[in-house]
Amino acid sequence: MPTGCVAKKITPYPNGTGRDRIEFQAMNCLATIIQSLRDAVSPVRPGYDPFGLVPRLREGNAPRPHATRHLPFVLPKANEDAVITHLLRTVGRRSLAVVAGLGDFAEFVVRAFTAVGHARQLRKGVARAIHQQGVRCLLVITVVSLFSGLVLGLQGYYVLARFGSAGLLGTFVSLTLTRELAPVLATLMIVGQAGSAIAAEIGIYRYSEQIDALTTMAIDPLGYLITPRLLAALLVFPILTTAFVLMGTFGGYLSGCWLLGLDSGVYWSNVHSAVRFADVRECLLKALVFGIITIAICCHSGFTAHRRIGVSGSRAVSISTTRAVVFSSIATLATDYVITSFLV
Amino acid sequence: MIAALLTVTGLRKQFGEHAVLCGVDLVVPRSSIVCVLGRSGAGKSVLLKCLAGLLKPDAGEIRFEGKPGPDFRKQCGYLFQANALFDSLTAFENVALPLEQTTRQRVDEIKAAVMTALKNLGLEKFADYFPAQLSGGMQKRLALARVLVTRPSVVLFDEPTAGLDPLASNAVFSMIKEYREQFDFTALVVTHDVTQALATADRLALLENGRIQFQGTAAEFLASDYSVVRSFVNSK
Repeated sequence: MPTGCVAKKITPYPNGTGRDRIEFQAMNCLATIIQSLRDAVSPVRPGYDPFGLVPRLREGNAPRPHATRHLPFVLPKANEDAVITHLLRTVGRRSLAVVAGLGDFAEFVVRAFTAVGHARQLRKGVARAIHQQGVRCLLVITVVSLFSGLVLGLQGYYVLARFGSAGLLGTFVSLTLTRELAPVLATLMIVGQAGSAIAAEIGIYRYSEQIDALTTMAIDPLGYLITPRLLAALLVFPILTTAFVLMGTFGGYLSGCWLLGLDSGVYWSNVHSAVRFADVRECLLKALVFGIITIAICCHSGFTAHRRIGVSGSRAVSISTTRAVVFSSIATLATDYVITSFLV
Repeated sequence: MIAALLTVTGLRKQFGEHAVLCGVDLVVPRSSIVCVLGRSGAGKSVLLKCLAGLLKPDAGEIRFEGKPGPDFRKQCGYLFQANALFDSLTAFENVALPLEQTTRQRVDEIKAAVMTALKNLGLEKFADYFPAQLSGGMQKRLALARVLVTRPSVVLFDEPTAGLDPLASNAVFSMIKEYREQFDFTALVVTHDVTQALATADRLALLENGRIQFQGTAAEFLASDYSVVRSFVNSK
C-alpha cells in the first residue's frame, strides 16, 4: 500500500446473517475500488519513479522529493474526492454520448427506410448499389469462399480421420459454412470491399457540400443516398452468402475428394442429408440482419463524418471509413452471437 | 415603398457561446440583385445557410411573398462557393438531377429542359463531360445551370467570386446580371468584393457585428458617412 493511502476497513458483523455477509463483501469491494481510484489519481507519490527517469533527467542524480510521477492526465487539484467526482462525471458523460449516438443511428436507419415512400428513381439507385455491393464483391467472395472450403476440407478430414469418421466431412463442411462461416465471412468481405467505399464516398459528399446541395434542391439526402444502398443490401447479402456456401462446399469437395481421396458420393450424400431447412433459414436470416446493420453503419459513418471532433476534411473521411469497417466487423460478430444464442 | 419578395426579421444564430447573427433584418425586393457585404467571419454565409434551410436559426422570421413558412425553400436555389457539383455525374446528369428527383416530368421533357439550360449557359458541347474536366468558370456556369433549371424565384449566391482573378470575377458578376434579366429571378449575393457589388447590385446591405448596419442603393452606400461603410468604400 503506498504511503498516504488510508484504506477504510469495514469490520464484519460478529454474528451476521448471509445477507449481512454479502453486504459486507460488497462494501469492501466498493472500498477497494475507491481506494484504487485514489491510488491511480494521487498526483504525488514520493520516490516513485518506475523507469528511473529522474536521475537521468536531473543533474546531480538527486531525485526531487515530490512530483516524480508523470501522470497520463493533468488534474486540476489534489482533492481526491473532487477527482473521483470528475472521473464519475466523465464516465457518465461518455455513457450518455454512447446512448445518444445509438439513438441517432436508430433514427437514421428508420428515416432511411421510411424514405422509400417518397424517394424518386429508386430502381436506378438500387441497381447502382447492387452493382457496388454485389457485382464488385463477387470475385472476392468466390476466392475467399473457395479457399475457406479448401481449408475446412483439409482440417476437417484429418480431425475426423482420427475418430474414423472421415466420411462425415461433407456434414462438417456444409454445416460449418451454412450456420456460421458463410454469413460472417461474406459480410466481412463485403464490408471490406463495398462498406469502406460507401463510407468514404458519402463522407466526401458531405465535405464537398454535395449533401447540402441535395437539401437546397429539395431532395431528401437519405432517400437519394442511403435508402437505395440499404435496399440493395437486403438483396445482395443473402445472394452472396448463398454463393459463399456453394463455393465453400465445392472447396471442401476439392480438398476432401480430389486431394485426399474421399469418395465423392459419400461427401455429397452427407451434404445433402446434413443441411436442413432450419440451417438455411438461419444462414439467410443472419445474412439479412448483417447486411442491414453493416451497410447502415457504413452509411451513417460517412454521413456524419463532419461531426468528428478535432478533425475535418480528408482526415475525418479517413477516420470515418476506418471506424465504419471496425464497427461493422464488431457488430457482425456480436450480432452473430445473439442470433445464434436465440436459434440454437 | 419596395415590393419585398423576401423579408427577414430578427434572425439570430449562435454557435455555442459565439453569437454570429444577433437579429438580422433584411428586405429583398422582387427581381433585384441584393449584395450582402461584410468582413470575413461576419456571418454572411451563415445568413445564407439559414435562409436556405441548411442551418436552423435560433430565432427570427423569414417571410416569402409576405407568408412565413418553408414554402420559400422550394422556390429558392443555392449556388455554393465551391459549386458542390456531383463529381461522379456528368454535366447533363448534374443538371437533370433536381428535375428527376423533384418533378414528375417525362424523360424526353427532362432531356429537353436540361439541354436548353446547358445551351443558355454555353455548355451544350460539354454535356457528357464530368465536372473535373471543366474549367473553374465553366463549373460555375454548370452549377448555375443546375440551379436555374428548376426556375427558382430566388437564387442565393455564396461568395461566387471567391478565389477568382479580377477578370473571372467580373465575368461571374456579368453572368449574374445577364441571367437575372434573362430568367427574371431575384438574386441575393454574399460577397466581399465591393467594386463588383457596387457595379452590379440594385441594393447593398452591410453585415457587421451580427446585424445589418446598412441597406440601400449603391448611391446611398457611397454617400453614407457610417464609419464601417466608409472603410468598405475606401477599400475598393
